[in-house]
Amino acid sequence: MKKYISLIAVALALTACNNGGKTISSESKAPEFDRASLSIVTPTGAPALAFYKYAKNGNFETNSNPSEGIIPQMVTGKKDVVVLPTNAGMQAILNKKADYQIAATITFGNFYLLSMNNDENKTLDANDTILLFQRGNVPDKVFHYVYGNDYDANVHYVSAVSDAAAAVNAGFFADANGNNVVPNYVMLAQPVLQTVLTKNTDKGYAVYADMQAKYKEKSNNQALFQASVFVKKTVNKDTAKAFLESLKGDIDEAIKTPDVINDSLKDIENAQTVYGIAPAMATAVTKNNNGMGLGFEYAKDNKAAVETFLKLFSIEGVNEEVYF
Amino acid sequence: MRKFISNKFTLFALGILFVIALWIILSLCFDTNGGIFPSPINTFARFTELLREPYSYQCLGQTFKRMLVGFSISFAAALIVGIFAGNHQPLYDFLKPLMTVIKSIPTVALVFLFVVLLTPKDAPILVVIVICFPILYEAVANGIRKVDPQIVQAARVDGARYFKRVLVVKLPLAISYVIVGVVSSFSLSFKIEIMAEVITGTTSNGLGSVIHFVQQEDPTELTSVFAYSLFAIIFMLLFTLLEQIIKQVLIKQKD
Repeated sequence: MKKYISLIAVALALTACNNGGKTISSESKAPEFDRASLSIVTPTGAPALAFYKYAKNGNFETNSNPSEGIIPQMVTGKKDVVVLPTNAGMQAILNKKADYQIAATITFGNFYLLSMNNDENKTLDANDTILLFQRGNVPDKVFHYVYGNDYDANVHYVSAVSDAAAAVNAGFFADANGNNVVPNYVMLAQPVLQTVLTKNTDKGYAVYADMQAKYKEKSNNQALFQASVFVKKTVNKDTAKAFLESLKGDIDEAIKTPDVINDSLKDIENAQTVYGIAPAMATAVTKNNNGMGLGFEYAKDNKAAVETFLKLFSIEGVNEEVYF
Repeated sequence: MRKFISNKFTLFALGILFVIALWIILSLCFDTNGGIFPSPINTFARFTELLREPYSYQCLGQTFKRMLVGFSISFAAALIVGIFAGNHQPLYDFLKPLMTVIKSIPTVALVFLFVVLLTPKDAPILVVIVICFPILYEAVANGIRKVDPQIVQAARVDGARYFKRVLVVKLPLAISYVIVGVVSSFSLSFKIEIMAEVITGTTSNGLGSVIHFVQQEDPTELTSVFAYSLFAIIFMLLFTLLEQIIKQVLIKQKD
């Protein structure tokens, strides 16, 4: 009898050790986040690049017309995770009751004011013709936040950054009256800026102002919280946390070793269309002082910076519930 | 000589030459930088490059697939509703306001509506369904309505029941109307699919998505836009050719 009891005792002890071993092993390393477990939509360009490891994921989608293609999906709650300009996402939550929370910001501005090398005094002033894009949107608001309204008499607009680039390449643009006007300064965003500079190397065009740096100076060292990740309220909190940590890791890796972007995307046939930028170009721009403005900051830990950015759009009084 | 000039295929070939000549003239007039209105030579050079890229075929294939899904659903629905409306004047009159409304809605409004209801990727399919439905419906219903009543009466006298009269007598006689409707809406649906892909901003493979991308990359360099459009044009020319062959076969069968 004693023999059997001791045998059972040994068996139990072995089982316990085995289970214990498993527990120790799982505690030491958290299970890796399954990138296909959440449905995600993001605008093409800089925000999409943060998802360079999601290219083969059927649940990941990009869209080149955020206002027509992404905001409706957020308002109707079609995706678990939505990436949008911080202001647009917040407006969807506050005005359209979109069932999402702001979790983190992943792009911190990629705007630059380009000098066309035709300003005699080489200083931006009220006599200079300035061309901006997306009237009433982030580039316009950032410009006015930094420089105020003193130059408005000579500020002109085109609808998209590609139109601003076209104006630089052509050397002129058509104003509201249809007259051809030569700009002195043009607002551009990366990676378009890089393309424009490469195309016009002989013309002496140069970056006049890094708008992110100017914004930081003006806002008491707060970064430009441009595009953010919004998580649907019904998504499991642990899954969402694991996703955000995984995304943070991916972004940190891309900033540290930009080649990882090209390595992840170079074999994807339609990467250029899906991400809105060729993988090699994305890597080159990121290598150039993180020109795409990639980064990762939790929104809740940076409420002041988020709210400073939102004030540009007269969005105030954001309550605690909006933060993940 | 007169016979040669009046030959259908000679005229078709001359028509193509005219289009190319017009294209060259327009390009010479408007192309200030080699890309705003690219010449046929530049476009064909880019087109040849694209022909070597498997991605181009994936885009064409996906656009065609989505268009075909939308068109097939639309055709099936139009066939069913059109047959009933063509046989029953009250139903035809009842559906008239609805068809007028569907035909009058701006396509872009439908795109925005379906982006909200569905997803940007699926919205173009529904747009194709809704845009093609009234055209196909009218073709089927009018084809059936214009069948000689005496032939139908003769079939009735011969003891043909309702469904036999509709499917065996009326529908084959209405086929030329149906084919005209199919041909015109098929070409239209291809164009609508591409346009809807551009507006929805979807980045899944498709001619519209890739045209949108190359346009956004550089709006003053439209050679790639023209070259991708050439895929659609050649595809539709081949379809027109197929349509001609089918028509000739049908005429021969009729004779």
